[in-house]
Amino acid sequence: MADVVSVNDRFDIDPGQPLPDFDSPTAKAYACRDGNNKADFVALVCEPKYPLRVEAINALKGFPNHSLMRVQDHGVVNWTLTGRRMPVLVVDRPRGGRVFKSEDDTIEPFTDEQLTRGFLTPLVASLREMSQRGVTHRNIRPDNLFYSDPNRRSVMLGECISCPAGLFQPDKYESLENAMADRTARGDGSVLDDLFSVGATVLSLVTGRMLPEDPDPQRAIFDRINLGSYACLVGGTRLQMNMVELLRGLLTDEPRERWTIRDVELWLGGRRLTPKQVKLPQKAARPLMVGGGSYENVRSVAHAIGRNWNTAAELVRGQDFDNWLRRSLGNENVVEAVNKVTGGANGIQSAPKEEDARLITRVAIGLDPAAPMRHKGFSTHIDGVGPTLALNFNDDATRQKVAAFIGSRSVGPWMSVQTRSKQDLLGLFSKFDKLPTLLNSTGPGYGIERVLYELNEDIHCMSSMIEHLYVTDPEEVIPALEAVAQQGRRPPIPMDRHLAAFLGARSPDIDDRLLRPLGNSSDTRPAIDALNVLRLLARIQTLSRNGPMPGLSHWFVELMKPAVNAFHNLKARAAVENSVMKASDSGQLGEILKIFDDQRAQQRDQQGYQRAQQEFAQCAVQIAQMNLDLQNKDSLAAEVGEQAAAVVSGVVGSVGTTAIVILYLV
Amino acid sequence: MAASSANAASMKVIVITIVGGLMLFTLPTVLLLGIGMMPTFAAMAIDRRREKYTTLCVGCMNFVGVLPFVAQLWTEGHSYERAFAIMADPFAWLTMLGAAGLGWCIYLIAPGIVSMGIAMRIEQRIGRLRRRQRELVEEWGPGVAGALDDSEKREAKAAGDAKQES
Repeated sequence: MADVVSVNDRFDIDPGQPLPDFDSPTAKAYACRDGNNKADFVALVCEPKYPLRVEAINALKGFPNHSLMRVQDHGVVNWTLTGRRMPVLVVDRPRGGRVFKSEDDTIEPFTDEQLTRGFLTPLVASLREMSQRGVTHRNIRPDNLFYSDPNRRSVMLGECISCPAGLFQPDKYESLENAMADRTARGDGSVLDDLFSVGATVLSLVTGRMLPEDPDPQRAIFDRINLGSYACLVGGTRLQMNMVELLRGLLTDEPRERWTIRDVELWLGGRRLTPKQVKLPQKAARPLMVGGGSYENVRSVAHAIGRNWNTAAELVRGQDFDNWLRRSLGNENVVEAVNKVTGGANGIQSAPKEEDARLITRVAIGLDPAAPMRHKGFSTHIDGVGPTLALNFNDDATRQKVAAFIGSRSVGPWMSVQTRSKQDLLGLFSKFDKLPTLLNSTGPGYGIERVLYELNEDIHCMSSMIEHLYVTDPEEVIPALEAVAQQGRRPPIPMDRHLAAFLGARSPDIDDRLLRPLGNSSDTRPAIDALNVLRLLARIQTLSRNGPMPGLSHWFVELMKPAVNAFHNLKARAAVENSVMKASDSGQLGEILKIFDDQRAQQRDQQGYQRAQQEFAQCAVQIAQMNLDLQNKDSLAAEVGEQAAAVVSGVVGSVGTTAIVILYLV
Repeated sequence: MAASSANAASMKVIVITIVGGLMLFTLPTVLLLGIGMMPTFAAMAIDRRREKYTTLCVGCMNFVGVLPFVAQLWTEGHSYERAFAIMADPFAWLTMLGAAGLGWCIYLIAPGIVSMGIAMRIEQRIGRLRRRQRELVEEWGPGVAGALDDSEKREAKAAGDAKQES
């Protein structure tokens, strides 16, 4: 056994035993054992760039059902194979293999018995439990199914927590609303989305092959809108009547008519009904031309407008669209929704030209409130914005489209036309409401980086300094920076935009007072940047109480040298140096901060220095004047010398005269 | 104005009359003084300064040199014979002219001595100021000299450049 890696001192991973059969698209599987009872598990060593669904992981703790790869534990480990810290999920190990080894794999079609007892019955139990825990799976597809027993009688769901919901779901296994969204922006969805995936998976199991990818995904979406997903997915496949009933129930595009868990349970219990006809979208009296295409129903028009956002504004402002909406469509609810989000015909006409993209977004929301929001080609559900940004943060185009979406403030209008419980959405709305302000602030701790961490509450800090250490909690920041400080090559300063934004978003004690000065480039005092960073990190260290950090302290001592040297008084400077060294040895950033935060001492030093400079200059002026006097001393002495000579002569003469008078005349 | 200048003129006339009268009655003394004080008259003639320091210097000493012989004249009979006898005495000339020479010496040496004194005093003060500057630099570092130090460096550099060019 190679050097085992321990997860939370409970599970031992053997990096020498990869289990490729259990790999996830974003994680490599390795053999893992419980340290106590030596039971076998699978350790999924996850690719750090993919955000984990931590909320789902926590909600699924103690999951009782065995038809799901349950998460036993999760943590972050030092993974020697990559030389960095990696997130690890320890999950149940299925006893059988994968049902579909790849997308191209074909299997023996499932019989009714296999499907109902081996797949649907345990699956429904799992979905019910997940639904009660408020979690969706959103990763149900044939190649994420495993046989739970060596005899391959029962099927279990693969893991659903190693990447954002629906990220690797082919469009055909996603409900129409999710398929219309960008793959990274599908969001967690609801149990109804899972049930649609179950329907598409059942179709694959009864046919023995996965549903083929469409060569033109957008054409396929319009076909699903116009013809219904059931017709598009089933096509000419011959099915038994009982399967038709199940699949029509699960693959219907109208969520309110889609089968619920209860319906599936009744079906499994033997209830049989005449299959319902799939309800197709209401056709307008005449089609509407959008971007060169002709569209007959409101959902396809909304989707087409969203895709042709850069040219659709002219259409939306025109009389033809208004006529189509009010007369040809004949759906008062849609007219009312469009009026609500756009302000009606007047609102559309009065919208400034430069806000065309926003106008189109709102019109599309009004036309199809259940669809993803579409802004400048970005099609997203409300909880899909964060994962999109997290997955492609280094891509300029993604950052721009997310920033544009947030700037469009489309969430408010979208919420106003939702039929979902407002309580669910209020949290998200309040979060999106404050994002434009954060986004428009340009300093460290704000901007698109702050948006990233506000929208993804569980992702790790992506600062280039500590990304490899997979820091997910502000308390881990100081030890991570200590590790950076201990290494040979240090960055210029232990702070960057990502780290500031991470701390601002994650720590309630880090507010504007600490973040704003980080971007105050107008302050030219020496080492002021380092001082502002020190102030912030000292606060974090105080809050997290994770012991002395001598490496980081010495780093700050180096950075603060210019501030020490800024003390003009040499005695004061020596005293400060002495204090700093003592504080540095303590490893407490707060101790160093106390020394440099003494504004009065700095002011006194500055004032004293100015006085000394003045005095020095006065001395120099006097010396120069005296040197001049020295040069001119002869001319000066001539005047004074003559006076002195006159005085001396006068005195001598007076004394002499007096003496003579006394001698001769008295 | 006209009245005051008339008063001054009349006062001048009165003084000249009195002095002239006195001189008329003391002609041997006037003779002795006139001849003995000739160095003073010479100094007066070449003294261009308004304050007449040279005249004062030479005159005072010259008068001390002449005064013993005036006293001798007065005590030994105030007569032309005695006055001529004194003037015929080389010692008298030596005394009168020597005293005048002493006056000239004082006048010529004093500026040099004063100059030395001034230089000493200035150098002492410069020394004190430089000590204070050194104390300031020791307390506050070389930066306290500010632009002054820079200018010194610039001058040194300019001097170096000039040396190289030459």
